[in-house]
Amino acid sequence: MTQKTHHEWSKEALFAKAQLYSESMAENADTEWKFGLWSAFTLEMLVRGSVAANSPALVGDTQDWSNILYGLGIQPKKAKFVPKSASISDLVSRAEELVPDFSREHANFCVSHFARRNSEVHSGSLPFENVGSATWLPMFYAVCEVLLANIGESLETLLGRETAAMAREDIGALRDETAKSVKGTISAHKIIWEQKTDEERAAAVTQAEAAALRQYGHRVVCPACGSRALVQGKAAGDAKRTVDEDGIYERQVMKPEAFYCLACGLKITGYSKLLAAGLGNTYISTSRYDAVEFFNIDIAEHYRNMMEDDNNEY
Amino acid sequence: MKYELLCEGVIHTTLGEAGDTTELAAQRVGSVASILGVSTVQSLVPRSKQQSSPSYSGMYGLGHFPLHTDMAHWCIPPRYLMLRCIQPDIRVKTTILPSKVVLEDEDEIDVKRSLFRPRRRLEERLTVMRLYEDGKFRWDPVFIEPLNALARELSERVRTRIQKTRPIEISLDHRGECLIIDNWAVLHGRTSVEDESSPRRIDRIYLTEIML
Repeated sequence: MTQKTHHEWSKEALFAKAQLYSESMAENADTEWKFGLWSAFTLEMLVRGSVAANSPALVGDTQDWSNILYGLGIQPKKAKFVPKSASISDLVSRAEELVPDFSREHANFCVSHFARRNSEVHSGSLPFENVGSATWLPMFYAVCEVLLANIGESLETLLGRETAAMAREDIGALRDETAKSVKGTISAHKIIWEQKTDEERAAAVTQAEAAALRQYGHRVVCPACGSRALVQGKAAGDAKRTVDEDGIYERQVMKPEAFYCLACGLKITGYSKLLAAGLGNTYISTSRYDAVEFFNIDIAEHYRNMMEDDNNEY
Repeated sequence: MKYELLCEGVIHTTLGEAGDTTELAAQRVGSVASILGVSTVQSLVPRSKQQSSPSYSGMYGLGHFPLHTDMAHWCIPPRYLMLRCIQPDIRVKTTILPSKVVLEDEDEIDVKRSLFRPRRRLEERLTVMRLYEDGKFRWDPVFIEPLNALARELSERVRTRIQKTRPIEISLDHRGECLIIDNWAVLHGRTSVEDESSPRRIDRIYLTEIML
């Protein structure tokens, strides 16, 4: 098989562009606005590339299905067709679905980084100038690492060996920092919890026990007050379904995304923080459906089909 | 079929009965590639320089053709090419150099970060490419250009290595004599043609796979 050019929405083309942009990023000091701006351009190409790793068609703007055709390599017949890719905020949502380790925390970082980029190119303010890189660079590298893995690339192929080694140090430090901050939040809640009266604590525990129902999330023990609390997560991988005489039984592995304890009010959002708090274990969400519900069967129509054919002749 | 392995990626053999077409001969050893806009069999004869022609004959005329891989400016170039002698001229030789020599001691990550592009747009766009990726090597001193600083440095080192290394030279002396070249692993070129009236005629055909 020969091919003259890559599809402009292919992961190969988008990753190459990310490489070029990251070089421009590296030409500037990390306190300069250009460093931040090029980092946002690099990140955008990686988000697009990681979505395209499944199919370039997923990069297309769904407002016009001709874009899906174009993404599949089929030239649409529509006159004066100009291919349009989805907005970056849509693509971040798509990455959340498609990239296994791309968490809500990563998505939130991308959204805020792209907001700075928009402010940089659409307004007179300088959102990247003189902003300490420590506030965003470790997370930037962490997100890049996750997206690159989905494209089949690495921090080394994006940034070179030397910068990649520094980036990995930053990612390690970010994890330590996250762990420290979560542990601080947990101990603060623990202190407040211990200052409550026995009656207040008992009432809160009862209330939390009643609210922590399985249908709302995964039941865990709160690391601050020891009450029943809930973890909510997102699906990781495909659901496993089994069929028995009672219907369809679905088991889905879930990756934790958020924790909330009604008793002491402790809230933890983001997988890395949950991991640091000891709440990072995946769990199984089980659902049972009857066949009618699962296959969306219209019983009335089913009965109608069992009767003789309609006949208005006599 | 008798054949000689000239180096890794190059087979020297004789193919076809008298009167066999090159396409029929090629079908005996592999699958013939069908490439949109490219004739299945291309007849290569020495031609004088024509400034306007964007081909090696147009640019180098009867001079030597530099070592290159065919269609290096495409994102996926043809896998194999077969050169089959139709009319020999023992004074003109095909030059061959394995790509291993060209990328010797290069850092794999640096090669991956060295970005090139075709010198002109293809299908109205420019695709970024690397000298080695996914098992495919490419090189062309004219049709691809470095896009970043790493590529400019790599390009210089490649040129120096090619200049310093003596390629294998082989002339196809008999009708039907063939070279089958792995275009993703081996560079090829041509020595100069001394006489404009050289009878040399070689057929070229691209193959997607080889079955020996």
